[in-house]
Amino acid sequence: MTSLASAQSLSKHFNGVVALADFSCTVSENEILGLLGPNGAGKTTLFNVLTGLLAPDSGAADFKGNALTGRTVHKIANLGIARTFQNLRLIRRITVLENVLLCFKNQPGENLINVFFRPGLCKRHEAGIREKAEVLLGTAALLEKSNDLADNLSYGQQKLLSLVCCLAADAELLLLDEPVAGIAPEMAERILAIIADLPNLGKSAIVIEHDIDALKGIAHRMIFMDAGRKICEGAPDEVLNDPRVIEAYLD
Amino acid sequence: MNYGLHIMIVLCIYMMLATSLNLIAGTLGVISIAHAAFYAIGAYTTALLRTQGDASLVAVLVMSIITAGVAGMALAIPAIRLRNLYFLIGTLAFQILIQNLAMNWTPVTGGAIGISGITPGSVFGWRPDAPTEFLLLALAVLLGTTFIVYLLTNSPAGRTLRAMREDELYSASRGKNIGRYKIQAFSIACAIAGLAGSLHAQYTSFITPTGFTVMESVFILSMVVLGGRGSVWGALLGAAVLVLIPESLRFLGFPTAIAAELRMLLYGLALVACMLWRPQGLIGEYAFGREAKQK
Repeated sequence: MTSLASAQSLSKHFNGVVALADFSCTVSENEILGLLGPNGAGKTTLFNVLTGLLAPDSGAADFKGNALTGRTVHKIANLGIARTFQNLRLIRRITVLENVLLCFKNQPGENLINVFFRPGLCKRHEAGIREKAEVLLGTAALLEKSNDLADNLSYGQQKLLSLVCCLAADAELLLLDEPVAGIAPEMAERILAIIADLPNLGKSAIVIEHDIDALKGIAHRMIFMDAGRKICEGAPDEVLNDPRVIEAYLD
Repeated sequence: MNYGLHIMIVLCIYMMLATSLNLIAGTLGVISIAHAAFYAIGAYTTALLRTQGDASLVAVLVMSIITAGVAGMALAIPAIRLRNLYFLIGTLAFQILIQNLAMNWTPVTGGAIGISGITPGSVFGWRPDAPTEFLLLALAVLLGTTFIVYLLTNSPAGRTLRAMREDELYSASRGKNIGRYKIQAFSIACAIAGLAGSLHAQYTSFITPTGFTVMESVFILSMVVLGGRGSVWGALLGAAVLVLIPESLRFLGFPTAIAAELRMLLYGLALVACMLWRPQGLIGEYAFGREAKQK
């Protein structure tokens, strides 16, 4: 399997608290990597470093041969990395459909020269992405909500929508931060089904999730981390049967 | 009837100022009180071009757009790093800078006396020096600028601006170049203010620094707040209310001196009423400060 993205010896400290300590990992093409660990293990910090929100103290990360460290947030996103946030970020005061439309890349209508001088091109492209957005919302069973404000969706639907937004961005690597935490089982099923299907679309994902059963069902490989360090890595069964992991989750 | 024409021309100019400031305060979501400075830059550019030579109408309008737009960009490039109130203070500094420049750079701006004898430029032999003709010009420019703002706010770029207004970090994580959008939108709004300044100078035929003070910026901002932040129609309505209501006082038989005091009282009342009962403005999209409180 070819490597899609990797992190080499990433370290990050917050006033003496270790969030990442010499952390390395690789995610391959069409692979779903599960990331496990107790609260404060540095999982979200890893996502923040990979997406450019935080600069690491040391170490490097790359994606398809492009260095990620030192690149701005929007440039990293445009390389083909999309993420969801643990505290669920969406644009709440625009509609569900607009949230999805917002995420498409390379829209001619986002360039003001095109807006004023090539309105036809903008209109055609907008119609095209609107169709794609409706297909995506259809597969997520959110189509009848398209014209509601994102704020009016249930928590589970909002989580589903943020995943649909990553699909609209057509990113090759999705960083999903607790995609099914705190939502109803049937909604979790729908979200997990979409994640499990990502490799068939040529996409990879790193998934942070505390729900071990949910993660076991979709992950090809798992990493268990604690206090910023990688404790163990391997096939889901291996990792989940590791005594250190059992200890951490029984405590 | 000249009085009616005069009010309509003034209204057109304020509507341009309000719709353009709405692009900053409404769509972009940052409050600027430097709008009168860009209005001044357009007015002084026009005044100089028309008194030092005989520049055509098109040349005068285009130059005012360029000077105000470039000045807007020059302010935006450093100022976009500032957030919320700090941005407001940054724009205030710029406003005071321009105000003092107009007041003290006497060889160019005429200082406190200002510049007089500004005549409208001509285009294809047509010189809009009669009020009716000038109203036609003002209406045409107002229509044009409103259309530009409308087109911009309803494009995918406008959608991105609304997304940024609510959550910059999220928008950046979706691949949007926040800085570029802010500079572009801010510069366009300033360019339109410059255009309004150009019309103002050509219409009133003389300008002084007192017409472009902080109070003027606040007055334009009140139009946006009252009419409704984020909505093109709201800005137009806000401008109409704040220009027409004080004028209507004349017909209620108040002496001019009292009417002038009442004007300020009315603005204050309108804003307080707005804060209390309609924080989103008469027909606005959303309220000032609401976004920040959401989380």
